[in-house]
Amino acid sequence: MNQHDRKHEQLVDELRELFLKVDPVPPLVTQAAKAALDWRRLDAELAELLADSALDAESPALRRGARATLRSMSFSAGRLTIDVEIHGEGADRIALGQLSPPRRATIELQSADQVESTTVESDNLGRFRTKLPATGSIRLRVASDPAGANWVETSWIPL
Amino acid sequence: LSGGAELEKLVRGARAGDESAWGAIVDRSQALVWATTRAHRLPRASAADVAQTTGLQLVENLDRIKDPGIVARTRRSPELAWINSVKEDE
Repeated sequence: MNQHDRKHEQLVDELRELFLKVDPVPPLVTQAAKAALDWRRLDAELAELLADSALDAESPALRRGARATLRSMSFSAGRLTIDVEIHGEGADRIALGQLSPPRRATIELQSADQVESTTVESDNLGRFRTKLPATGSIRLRVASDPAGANWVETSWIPL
Repeated sequence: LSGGAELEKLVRGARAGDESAWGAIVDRSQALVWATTRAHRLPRASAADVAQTTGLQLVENLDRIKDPGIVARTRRSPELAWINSVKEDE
């Protein structure tokens, strides 16, 4: 590490201290982030986010408040594509999904704020539907074989 | 240990499921995440959502971090870009 890097790190440390005094991170926030490690699963392949209509428009800071009625996302892992549409608002929010290529599969909905996950089955055409929690982040896990030994999971979706 | 080497060790620990290593990463990174979202004037509830999602996404990408030092460095954070300008003026 050269001298500039050291000075830089020092400055960052000082700045961090300052921020911590002025606007500290709420303990619950830190707690939630620490709990995130429990969600680490080594049995699943990550499905990358290919597209998210919420990211198409302007910056997230500006978007808040301008309520879109429909949000659509696509995830992909190998040959499997998972398309998800989120309909409705708040407690009435649901997700409609489509697996491509279409097939029957077990789909688990995980919510970062809840220990319990819910499970739905897709139909012959690869379609599924599930209720969503009102807040927080979610992800979907799709069984990639009938025995449920291998899973594909989407990256976390902030609702 | 330099900041980068220490973080590399922490990231290795977190990959292996070591909660205290992960906790140390969180303590170091959340202050910046929080400050960044607040600098964007996000309300506290939204900033909390962002902080949680950032933690979750860091976990799901633990195996793909090539340069663990980047987690603690702020060069890529636009809100703190002025630090770099200070550095360049030296």
